[in-house]
Amino acid sequence: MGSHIHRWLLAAVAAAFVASGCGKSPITSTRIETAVAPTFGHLVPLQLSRLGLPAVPASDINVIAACHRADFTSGAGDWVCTLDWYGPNGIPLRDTYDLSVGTDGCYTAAVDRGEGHLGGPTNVASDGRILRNLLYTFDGCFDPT
Amino acid sequence: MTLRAITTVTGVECAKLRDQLAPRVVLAVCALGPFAFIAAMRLQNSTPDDTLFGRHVKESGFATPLVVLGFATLWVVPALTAVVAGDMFAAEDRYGTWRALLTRSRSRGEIFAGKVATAFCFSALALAVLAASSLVAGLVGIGSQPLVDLSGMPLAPARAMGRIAAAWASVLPPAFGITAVAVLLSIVTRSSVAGVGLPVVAALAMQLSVYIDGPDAPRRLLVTYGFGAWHGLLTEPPYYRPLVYGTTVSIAYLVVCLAVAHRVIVRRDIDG
Amino acid sequence: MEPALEAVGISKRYAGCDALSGVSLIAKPGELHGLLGPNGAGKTTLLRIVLGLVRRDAGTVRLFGRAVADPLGPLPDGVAGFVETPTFYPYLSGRRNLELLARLDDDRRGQNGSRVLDALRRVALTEAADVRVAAYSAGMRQRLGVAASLLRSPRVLLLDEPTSSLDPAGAQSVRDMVRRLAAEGVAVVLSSHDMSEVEALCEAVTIIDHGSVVYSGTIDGLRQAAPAPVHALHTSDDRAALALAAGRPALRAAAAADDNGLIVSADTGSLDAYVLALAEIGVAVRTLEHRGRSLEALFLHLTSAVRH
Repeated sequence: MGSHIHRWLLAAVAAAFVASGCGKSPITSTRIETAVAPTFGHLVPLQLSRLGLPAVPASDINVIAACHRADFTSGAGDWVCTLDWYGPNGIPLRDTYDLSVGTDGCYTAAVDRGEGHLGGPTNVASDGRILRNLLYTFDGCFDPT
Repeated sequence: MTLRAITTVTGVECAKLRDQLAPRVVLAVCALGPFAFIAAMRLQNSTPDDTLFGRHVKESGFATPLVVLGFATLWVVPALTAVVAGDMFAAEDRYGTWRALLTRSRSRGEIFAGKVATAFCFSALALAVLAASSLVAGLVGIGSQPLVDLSGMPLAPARAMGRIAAAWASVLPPAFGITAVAVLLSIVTRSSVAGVGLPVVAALAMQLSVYIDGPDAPRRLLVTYGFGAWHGLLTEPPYYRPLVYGTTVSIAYLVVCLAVAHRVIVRRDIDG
Repeated sequence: MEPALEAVGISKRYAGCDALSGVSLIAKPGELHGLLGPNGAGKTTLLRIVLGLVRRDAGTVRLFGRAVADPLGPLPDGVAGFVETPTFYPYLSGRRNLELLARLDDDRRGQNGSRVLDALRRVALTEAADVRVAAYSAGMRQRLGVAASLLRSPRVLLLDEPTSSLDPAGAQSVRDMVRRLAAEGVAVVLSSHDMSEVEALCEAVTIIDHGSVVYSGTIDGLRQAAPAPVHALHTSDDRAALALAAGRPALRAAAAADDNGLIVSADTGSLDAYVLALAEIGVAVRTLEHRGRSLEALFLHLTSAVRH
């Protein structure tokens, strides 16, 4: 009975490897872009409303994301995403985020220091309160299967 | 083997659990742990940013049960689900009480089923207590502000609670898979240390393999794969494939482990 | 009268060694049946097989005329007993242990209280009933084991050396209880390595040694089956005397129970030759007493016969 189970298990693992495409990761730039863009697009109006600033409808923001990584074309690890969007008053803006993407499809996006127009880790609200900047660093997940 | 007989054995095993220290300590830790966590959060400036929703933990009480869930699935949930199951059968070897238990009117199959049912009930109870206590600790300690989900959308309290309940429920299949592994180890090794310790160590190792890049398919064969499926319940739109894969794999572990465990115990010579 | 317990042709092999070969034991209702043998003879293995703890390799077990189909199945109603020292959950009280075991017999939760109390009373454990079993002495545990068996209202009772850990008063009360049970029609099988206890208590006996039956029948029959008179022998060098006897097939000798000389079983001619041979090797005979056919000596004779 023991050796039977051994062979079954080995066959199952081998089949799984073959079926998975043997090394090509499902974590692609498309999947990351499809996740990061809408998340960013929802966080912007949310942060604006928290700060007491005039609302910008989500449909006006129109985020387009372009993500790439230095050494490979897919897989978990460090990615860079460039987000092109329209801010308040329709101004086109570009922000760059450094992403750390895990094998489970979850990522942490941290704004690249060089930009500046999203602010720092905290923002000052219209009533003077200091609030965490939701856009400074945010998490998200996508389907990794 | 009748349902009534199995219920009787389950009742007897639960009665034994009530008089043991370890299960009571575990449930107490589940009930009080989240409150200690929130108290610590309130005292310090930083937040557990390496866990999902950790950034939000001071902004919405609804983040607490999700942060606890994310942290607990690393090794705490396996420990909770193995602590009774891993001891359940090995204890009879340790005390030498198989010969007391098996010289009554219940068959070995009924005794096996009753013990397994008790182990699963305890696992579910421990998780339910931990989930409820995290939610209450969050609401009491932080408040019922809207929770921002993994797609940046704010969730109203009712929706947040529904998603939180679903997230914790989604963790039951892999938890039960680990319970079944603990039952098998308890029977085969006849050692409580192995029955409780090995599933925890194995689950931790499996969870740490998340950090190793590679194809997704072998990952799906791990019983802990389903522990990450809840992420898909908190995005907009939600995705369910990891949940389906994870649940299927967990059921496979459950069926195989319990079938082997049953066969071993029903055929064993009790020499001690 | 139909036998209460019929174990016929029981064999069990463990890792290249025959623990039991074709052993049969038949006990009638109301009979006190001794299962006798030296340590390691296979008594406990036989009891384990009848109690469904260990699978038999061959043979059948019938209880009250019905064959027991599943060798590892639940114990049929009316059968109870224990092997080795009875074990319980040490973190529970004696009463709680019995209540939970009773629930496994028939689930009338909450209604087993009076049965448990009665069983505790019969083994004189009422005062210690609510003490945790971890604090019980070996004797208390043994009495609790008897109580656990009584809970099943047995008609066949299998007890493995039930008085071994008890003081004389406790042992006597177990013997009295066992006699009362037999008088009520219960078939009681008692295993022991102590022939004198079996002789005092039982009317039938099965003697096994090294996994085989060497005698099965009544105590009276055993007394008459002795093939040779038995003598108590004291010499100046008992060890040398035993060694010499080992080489003489017509003669059986073994050390007496309390290291007090030897028991020798032989006919007159062989005994004479042996005494002369002892003198030849320089061993002096100090006393030589005819002991008749005491069963203890018979037991030694029978069990050492198997080894030869």
